[in-house]
Formats: sequence, structure tokens, C-alpha cells
Amino acid sequence: MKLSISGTAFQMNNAEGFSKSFFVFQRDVSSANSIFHHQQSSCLWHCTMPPDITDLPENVVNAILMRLPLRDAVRTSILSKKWRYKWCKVPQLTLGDELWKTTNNLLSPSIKFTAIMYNILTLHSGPEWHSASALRFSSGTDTNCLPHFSPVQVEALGPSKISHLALENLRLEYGSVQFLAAVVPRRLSSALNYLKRLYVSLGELDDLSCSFRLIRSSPCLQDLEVKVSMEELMMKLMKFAAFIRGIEYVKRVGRVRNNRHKAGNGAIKLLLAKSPMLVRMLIEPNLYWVDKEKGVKILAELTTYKRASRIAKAECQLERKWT
Amino acid sequence: MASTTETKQKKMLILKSADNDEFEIEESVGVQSETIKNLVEDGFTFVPLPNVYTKALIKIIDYLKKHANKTDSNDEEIKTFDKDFVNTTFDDLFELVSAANYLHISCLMNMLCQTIADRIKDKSPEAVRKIFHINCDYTPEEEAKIRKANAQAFEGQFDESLD
Repeated sequence: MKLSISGTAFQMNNAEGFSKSFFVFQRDVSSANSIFHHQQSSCLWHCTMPPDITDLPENVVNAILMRLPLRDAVRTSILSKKWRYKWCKVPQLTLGDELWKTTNNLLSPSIKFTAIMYNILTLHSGPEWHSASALRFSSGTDTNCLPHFSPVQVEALGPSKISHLALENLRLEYGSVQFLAAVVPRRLSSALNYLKRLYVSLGELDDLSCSFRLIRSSPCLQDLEVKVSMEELMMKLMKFAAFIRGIEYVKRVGRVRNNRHKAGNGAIKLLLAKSPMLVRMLIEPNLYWVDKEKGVKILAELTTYKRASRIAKAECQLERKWT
Repeated sequence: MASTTETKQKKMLILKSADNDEFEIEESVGVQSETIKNLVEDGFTFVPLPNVYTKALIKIIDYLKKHANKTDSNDEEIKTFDKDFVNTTFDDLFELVSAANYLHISCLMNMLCQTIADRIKDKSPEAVRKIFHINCDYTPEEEAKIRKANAQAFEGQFDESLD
């Protein structure tokens, strides 16, 4: 029997509220054979412990799939019917630039990239997005290999789909913001209602408006981590952020990289003044510019800033932590 | 006094495997497992583990003992131990990973899952099926369709070995 995406959707709705094992079982109803297989194998599991990985708990299978490169994880869809959509339910997907790097220099990486993104977005557009709670875009420092989208390609990707993601955690490594700038339309059709954590690593000036859009469209944002290489950029971003809805809900600002004492502090001042929900802010000064003595001065200065939140704590990391 | 000698003595736990073998370990070693820790906190000193078989339990106790004595100086020694620990067959790894999952030992879980992922990486679907003991229930047409839908993932050469 054919297992279509819509069919899965129906079963998933049915299974809501039931235990996980029931949920797995429910999915199997689509094939009478696999019910038989499931009962048989779970019986064996208790008697003789067959080392059949399908009987490993769902969280273990997810933990393994999560650690596989995306290409390898996608390939598991061909193992058996039971494995068809397992990779779609992995709680975290990592998309690295090795995916769309081409060996053929004549071929633009964006062609390959668009095809991959199209596949991922269409396959996950069903209810399975709900379990994809984290999406991580990583990219090397080589910005030349980054895809640039034409409007047609963006349309093909279905930009509105981005806003349907039940994303909770979005990590945009250096350079990958550009990709989203192309995919995220000027205005998101619906808010990223689930997004709680956002990490942005900014490199170039045109990254700004996209990050701004993302923050503005995330009413539930709690953690914001911004890494900037240029302090003016930080200032601008924070000026934007200070007037947007999303920032009011930010509870924790992790690691504001403060490159040079003066400019970075302006951003911190703004964040403190405009975030009534803020609980904790971690400031990581560039230790090349800021020595211990200077750091103490910064801390003293921080206490004089006006705070919108009564409980906000600003911490300054003055010693280099090697991890 | 009796009470002082008792506190000086190390608290012991008894773990019972699914094949009814019993193992005595120090409480400080056992509590690295969240499952055991919860039971100990509820006052248990005898812990039956109906989901963990003797073979896996022996290895896991070894692991816990080694990691309980973790200091800065024996970092290298533990690294070598871990390397040896995961150097085993896939079937053993699966048994260990389900035991570690049941016992909630997160560092061991992470290590085992990473090892399994690293070892099945770049393998052909056929090899992965054999490793996982999966029977393919697709018809050739269905299989071809899925391959076509995710053509990117199936490009290139794959490793056919089973280890």
C-alpha cells in the first residue's frame, strides 16, 4: 500500500495525544504486512533480543540520524517502508555547504542548492515540520560558493513555506544569512510563532534586513545571539531591533560580541533599555582590544545604563574560555 | 561508633541484569546513570534492570568505573579506553546504545550514537540494511521512485563493507 504524505498527515493527527509507541504503530497501519512485522519483532525483542535497529527507541534512532550528514540521513528513506519518513522527523537538521559545493566549477552551486532545498522543504511541508524543531545552516567562510537566488528560484522554493516551519531553533552561521535573505520574502506571510532561539552571525551589510525581518516576525523569541564582525553593523541592527515587536520578548541575549569598547556598548545600552523581558545578557568583549582593567571599567559602566527589565543581569566575560 | 564506621564505608549498590546476574558497584559509580540515580534517591540499593543483559552490563559498569575516576591527569587514558570501548561489532553497539538509553547515561549515549553515525556514513543502502538487519519491503518500482525523488543523496560511490 502506498504511503503518501497526506496519508501520514491524517495518521499523525489521529495519533496526537497518544503515547509514542502507539504513534509508531499507527503509522504502520498503512501496511498490514508491517503490523505483522512489528508485532513479530517486538515479541522477539523480549525473548531473544534481536539486534534490529528498528526496535531501538525513536529517540535513539533520531540521535543517530541527527549525527549523520544530511545526505546519509536522506538515504535511510530507502531502507524500508518503516524508514521512509524517519529522517523527516529528526529534531535537528544540519545543512552544510558541502551539500551544494560542486566539483564542476562551471555549474553554479545555486542550482544544486535549490534542488536540495526544494526537496527538503516539500518533504517537510507536511506535519513533519513540527518535529523539525531545529534547523541549522552552516557555511564556511568561503562566501563565493554561496548560492544567489533569482526571484524565480525563490518562487519555486515556496517562500511562504519558511514561515510555516515550526522552527524553534534557528542557527545562521556566517554567510548563510544571505541565503535566507533570498528565501524570506519582504514580509513573512505568517509569523515564526515557534521560534525561540535565534543565532545570527553577520558578515556583510545586506544581511541586516533579513535578520531584522526574522526578529520582527518572531513574537516568541526568547534567546538571541548575535555575532558581528563589524561594530557599526551591530549598532544598526540594534537600532532596528529596538523598535520592533519581537525584541520585547527576548529573555536572554547571549554573547554580544563587543569588538571595540565604544561602539559595541551603544548596542548593549539599547538592548538593555528596550527589552523589558530580559533576564540575562552575556557580553563577550574582544580580548584583543579589552584587557582586564578595561573590562572592569565596562562592567562599571554597564551598571549605569537604564534598564527596561528589573531583573536583567548583564555579565561580561573577561577571561578567555578554551573549549 | 557504629554510625561513623558506616559512613566511612563506601555505599554499595546491587545491579541485577535481565539474565539474573548480580553486580555490586559503588553508589558513586552507579549514579552516573540517571535511572539508577533516581532509584538511589528513592532509597533503593537493589536495582533490577530488566532491559539490560549481562554482556552489555559488564561493559557499561567498566565504562562507569572508568569515568567515575575522571581527573585532569588521566584524560588521555580515558580517551584510549573510550576508543577501545566502541571498537566492537555493530550488534554490540546497538545493544549497548539501547542499554545506555534505558539507563540514561547521556555521555555514553552521545559517544555511541556518534560512533554508529560515523561508521554507517558513506555506506550504500544495501550495506546499511544488512548492518541494521532490515528487510526491504519496497517493490523495485517504489525503490526507484524514492531514489529519483532524492537523487542528490544517491549520487556517487558508496562503501559496501559491513564493518
